[in-house]
This record gives sequence, structure tokens and C-alpha cells, in this order.
Amino acid sequence: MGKILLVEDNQMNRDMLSRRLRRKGFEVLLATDGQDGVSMARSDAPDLILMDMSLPTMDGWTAARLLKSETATCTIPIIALTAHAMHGDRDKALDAGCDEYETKPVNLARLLRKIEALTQKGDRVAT
Amino acid sequence: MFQKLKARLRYRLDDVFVRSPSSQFFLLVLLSIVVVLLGMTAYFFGLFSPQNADVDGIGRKIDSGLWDSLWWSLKHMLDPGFFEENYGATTPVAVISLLIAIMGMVIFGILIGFISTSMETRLASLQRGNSAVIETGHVLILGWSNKILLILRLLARTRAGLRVVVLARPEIAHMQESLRAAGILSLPIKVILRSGLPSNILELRRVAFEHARSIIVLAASTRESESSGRDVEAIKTAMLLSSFQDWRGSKPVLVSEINHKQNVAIARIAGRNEISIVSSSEVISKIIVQAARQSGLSFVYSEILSSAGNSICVTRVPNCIGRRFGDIQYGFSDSIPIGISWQQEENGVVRYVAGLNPEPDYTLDPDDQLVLLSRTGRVQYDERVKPHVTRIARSGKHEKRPLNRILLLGFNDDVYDILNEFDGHLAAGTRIDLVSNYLEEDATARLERHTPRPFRNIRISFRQGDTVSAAFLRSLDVSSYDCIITLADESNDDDPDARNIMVLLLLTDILRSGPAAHNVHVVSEMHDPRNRELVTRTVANEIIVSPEIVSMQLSQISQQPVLESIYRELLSAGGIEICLKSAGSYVEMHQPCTFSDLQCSAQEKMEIAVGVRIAAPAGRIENEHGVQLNPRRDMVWRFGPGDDVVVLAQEIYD
Repeated sequence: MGKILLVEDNQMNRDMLSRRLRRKGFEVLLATDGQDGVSMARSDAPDLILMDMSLPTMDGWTAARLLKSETATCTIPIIALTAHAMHGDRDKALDAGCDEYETKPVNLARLLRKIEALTQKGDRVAT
Repeated sequence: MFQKLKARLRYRLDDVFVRSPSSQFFLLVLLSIVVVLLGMTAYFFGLFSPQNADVDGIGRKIDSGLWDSLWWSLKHMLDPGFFEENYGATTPVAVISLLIAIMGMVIFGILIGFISTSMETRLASLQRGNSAVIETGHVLILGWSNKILLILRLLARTRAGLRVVVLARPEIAHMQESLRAAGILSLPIKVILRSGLPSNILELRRVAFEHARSIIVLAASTRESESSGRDVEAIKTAMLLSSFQDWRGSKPVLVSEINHKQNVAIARIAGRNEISIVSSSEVISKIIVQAARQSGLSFVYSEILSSAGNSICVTRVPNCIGRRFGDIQYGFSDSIPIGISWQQEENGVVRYVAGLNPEPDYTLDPDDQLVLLSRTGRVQYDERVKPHVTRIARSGKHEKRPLNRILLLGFNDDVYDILNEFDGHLAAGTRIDLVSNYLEEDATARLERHTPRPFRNIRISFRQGDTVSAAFLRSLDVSSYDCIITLADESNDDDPDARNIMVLLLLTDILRSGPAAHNVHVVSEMHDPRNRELVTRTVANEIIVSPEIVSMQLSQISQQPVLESIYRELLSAGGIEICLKSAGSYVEMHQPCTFSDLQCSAQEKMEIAVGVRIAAPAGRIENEHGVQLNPRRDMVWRFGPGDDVVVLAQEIYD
């Protein structure tokens, strides 16, 4: 199972999603704002990033753009997490460099499918 | 030389006298022995000589020597009346008996004075509450404010027979009188009062803090804390409690109130994450803002936070393990599962964390506890009940009530947090007009001092004026606002509640005589719960008794610390919130439906239905504004316009 970086400022959402992912066997790293998320992505090289978009200090869109612009982190898949259920928000997240999009509250089965698809795609690219 | 010796002796005697009563008593015994020995010297002056053979007061039954002279001396010292029985004795013996009698009287005088002073000192000490408390498993309240009476009342309601120890600065007589006047002394709890400084470890030991089951630290009341350095005492106490390691038995639940939101970060550092922090200004501002946004929400929170009716509890339900969270919703007859709680280790500290509104497909683990909204606290789950399946038909979508213009009447220390909270919840461009007794420059300076960052969404304008003047209120065109909030006004010297009541009466008159009365949502903040009844017939839709809300949270968290994170989440902008949404967005209007239908429909939207609000017919005021939380499962409704479903849902604000 892979290493996932969860960037989420809401403590309850963070606790809940990290618990569910750990129960599925993932190693979960936690960051509480965009700045922290970028730093941890650089230092810990996760297999995938789950990024809340409305974050303090540095928002998710800026953080995603920054990560995708750097050689060391540009290959890490990013799934945007937001409660915005509008098509515009999806496009905004994808424009910022996010590879996928998931609305909150998270449907875990759907999220796991997306994680699996993105990490397998990453493996194929690597090989 | 002699003077020096005399001074030294006097110094030593003074030293002995100012010491404890036992050393004074020892000195008195020593003096008595010296007097008795002096009396015994009568033996050498012919006490038992033949000339004294006929004297009644001189006994010879033992040995006519040392023991008889001891008896004679002792008898004269203890009872000066015996001097009379020495009539006819030789002169030296008569003189000695006179001297012993006089000295005996002096010693007894001192003894009586000593006993009386000791008793007085003891009584004064009891009145000051200086004696040590010998209790275990008690609730300890540190500090004194207007919230303590409510906390005691809530504790009495939840746990009859509880022993509550209060350590606070005021005199015991003052505290006792406050308890008596509030009727606390007749409640089924034992309240033990001690006067002292809660941030002093010696004082804490006096109230057996290491044996307590929970400790509640109260902040000084807002006005008082202005002068005494804002929350300093509570933060010092939090620091002391978090650094203490030598707890007898399990560590007590620690919860501390902090007046001002800006001090919360310091309090958390001081409490090393081992103390639950409740910021009163934050809690009040969140409730006021939520009540302003959604009609009826203050009644939902009042019920959840109070110990009467439904409240949140966390408990393990073994026969739910292995089942999906969505499926167990229907097996509880008097509770609604709203979340889960589990133990988690963070930075070496093991704590209970909670997650609200988990996805319906979440499977419960053996270490999961359920967070429930429960009417009775006695949770019963019937595993035979199958998940409810219904055909969901909706009549429409939920439309949020517009909130573009808000009028804030009055000014107090919670204003800054209220504005910050509005900024987090409201759309960009929302206008808030703040009217108080402060000059515009003064109010602006206060706001700049307390809210360093510019607001993102709201635009604020200040106006000085007398809010209890009908002419002034009319000039504000109050009916043009979407929402009016009347705060417990501290911008002048009047009683904040009295002023607020007058404002509400004037608003009632103005709004009821105008055409737009039904459109203006009025939220009012009170300090004294007794005033709630006085304003129920005014235009106030929501009445928030701020000390009551904070007291309820403090007492609940002191019993179940995991509730801190649950309340924080429920009241914060964004994340999981309690919302009132139009019934038509869940079921078909005017068609019969049960609560299970609502639960099923809400679940499809990833929400949890927790109650309903039935709109009152025009001109009628329903109890609790028609809010029914956790309703009976056999009830059948036909919803109409204005009826709402109370749900737990993920909300987001731009």
C-alpha cells in the first residue's frame, strides 16, 4: 500500500479521512495548510496527495500549481478535495494541475477507485 | 546586660505567643507546673507543723510530706476558694496559699481567654474556608463568575448527589449568599466553598484537586478581566494543572474557560493539549451568527447543550460493530447516531477524537464508539430493524434566506468575534451597520485593535446613537434590514439586559406597525436567563442567553471531554454543521411521511436528519419555535411551506 499526503485544515475531516485510509492499509501523512503540504511533498515524496482547496496560508490551487511546476514533485498525482459541487470548481482544480477531483463528504469507495487508478497510472509511467 | 537579657526573654515569649495555639497551650501547662511547685515549698515553711494540725484545708492522709503538699498546692491553684479553709494556718503557709490562689486565678483567666480565642479563630477560619477539603471523586470549580450558578444547576440535574468544591477569590459569605439567593442550596448536590487563589498550588492542594474527577476553570467576568489582564488567572491555573503529574488515581477531566478568542492559543500552549479550552466569546459569537443565519437554530443548540431534552452523548454500542453507519440509523428508537469517536495518539497524548456525519458506508470497528443525539441517555439498539427503504420524491430545492444587510445594536467584547464569524459565513459585499454609544472613531479604533486583519466579505459602518430612543431607532429604517441583532450593550453604564429589553420593546413597536415585520429576523443576546421570559412576546425570534450557553458547554465537556471537538466542529464556519433546510427538499410536500423517510432522504444527500421544525400558523408562537429534535418514530407529518428538516450536513462558505 502507498503513502498518501492528506492536506486538510479541518481537524475533524482530517481525523476521519486519515482513519479510513489507514484502515485500508495506507500510510497517511498529515499537513494542515498549503505551505506545509508543499514542504511535506518535497521532503516525504508521497505516492499521492489529497488536497483540500480552501486552505489557510496557501490555498490548494496555489499549492497544486507550485507542486506541478517543480521537477521533484510534478509526477505526484493530486486529488482535489472540496465541498464545491459545481463544474467550474472541478475545472478550476484541474487547471491548477490536479489530476482528479472529489467532493466532500468523501465517498470512500469512489475515492479509493480514483487513488488506485492514479497510482497504477504512475507505476506504469515509472516502468 | 540585664536589659539585653530581658529583651531577649521578651522576644522569645512573643515568639512563642505568636506561634501556633499548641505552643501557647504548652506554655500555660509549664506555668501551672511552676505555680504548683512554688506552692509545694509551703512544706518547708511548716505546712504539716503541729500549729497547723487543726486547719481544715491541710490534709495528711497520704504521707504528710511531698504527696500531701503536692495535693495541697494543686487544690489551691485549681480552686482559689480553698484559701478560705486555711483559716488559722501559720502566716507563711497562709501567704503561700494566698499567692497560689491568685496565680491560679490568673492561669485560669488565661486558659479561658485562650480557649475563647481559639474558638473564635477556628470559627473565623471556617468562615474563610481555610480548612482542607477531604473529598475524592468531586467536581472542582476554580474561579467565580455569573456562570457558576448555571453550571451547578446543570451538574445537579445530570448527577444528583454530586459533591462540588468551589475555590474562588470572593469571601465565603458572599458566595454562600449568592448560592442561597439562586436556590442552589436546595439542589441535590453538596457544594463546598473555599476562599483562595486558584492559581496557587498550595490552595489547590487545600481543595484536594489531585483527587477530583473533573476540574472546571472559570475565567473572570468580561468587565472584571479588562482590568485584571484578560484571562491571566485562568491561563496560570491551566499551566499549573497541565504541569502537575502526581495525580491520585486517574487524571481528572480538565476544562478551562477563556474569555477572549485571542487568548485561546496561549491557553492551549499553557494547557499542553491536556486541557479542553472553551472560549466564551467564540462560542457566543458562533451561536449568535448561526442563529442570525438560520431561524430556529438557537433552540436546537439550547436543547442540545442543556441537560433537558436531547443531548449529545458518546457511548459504545457492541451490537453495532461490523455494521454500516447508514444501516444502524433505523435501529434506535430514542437516539440518532450522528458520528463516531475513537482513541488516537498525537504527540504522545492519547485522546478521544470524533468524526461527525461519516459516510453511510462506514463500517464500525470494535474500537469505535457512537456519537448519538439521545433523548434519554439510555441507548438501546434493536439489530432486528432493517434499513429503511423508501421511494424518495422531492418537491424542490432548499433556498437559503438572503442575508445582505445586518444591523447590530449595542457593543460588547464579543462584537469582534461576531464580525469575524460573519466574515467567514457571509457572501462578499454583505453590509453590517453597528450602532452603539461609542463615537465612530472610538468604535473604529477598538475594532482595529482587536481584528488586525481586514475583513474579506463584510463591509462595516459605525454609527453613534442612543438605541433606546424610539426616534433614533425609527431613523435607522430598521425594517429594511434582513436581520437585527441586539447585543447585551456594554458601551454605556446601564444594565445591559435592561437596555436590551427596552430596545426589543421599541423594535417590536416599530416593526409590528410596519409592513415588513415578517421579513426581519431578530436575534437578541441576554446575560440573565430570568429575562428570557420577559421578551418572549417581542419581535425577538431567537434569544441567546450567553452565560447559559457557555455554562452548558463547560459542564458537558467536564463530563465528556470529547464533546469539545464536536461542538467546535458544529459551530465553525465550514465543515459539518446543523442546518435547517426546507422540508420540500427531502420529501414531497403535503404527502404523509415519517422520520425514517426523512432519514433515508437525508442519507442520500450524505446528510443526517436529526429533527423537524414545523412553522407556526400566522400570529401564533409555537413552543421552541416548532423545533422537534429526535422525534418519535411513529409520527406522521404532511409538510407544508415554511416547514424545515433539521440536518447535520457538510457546509462550505466561499
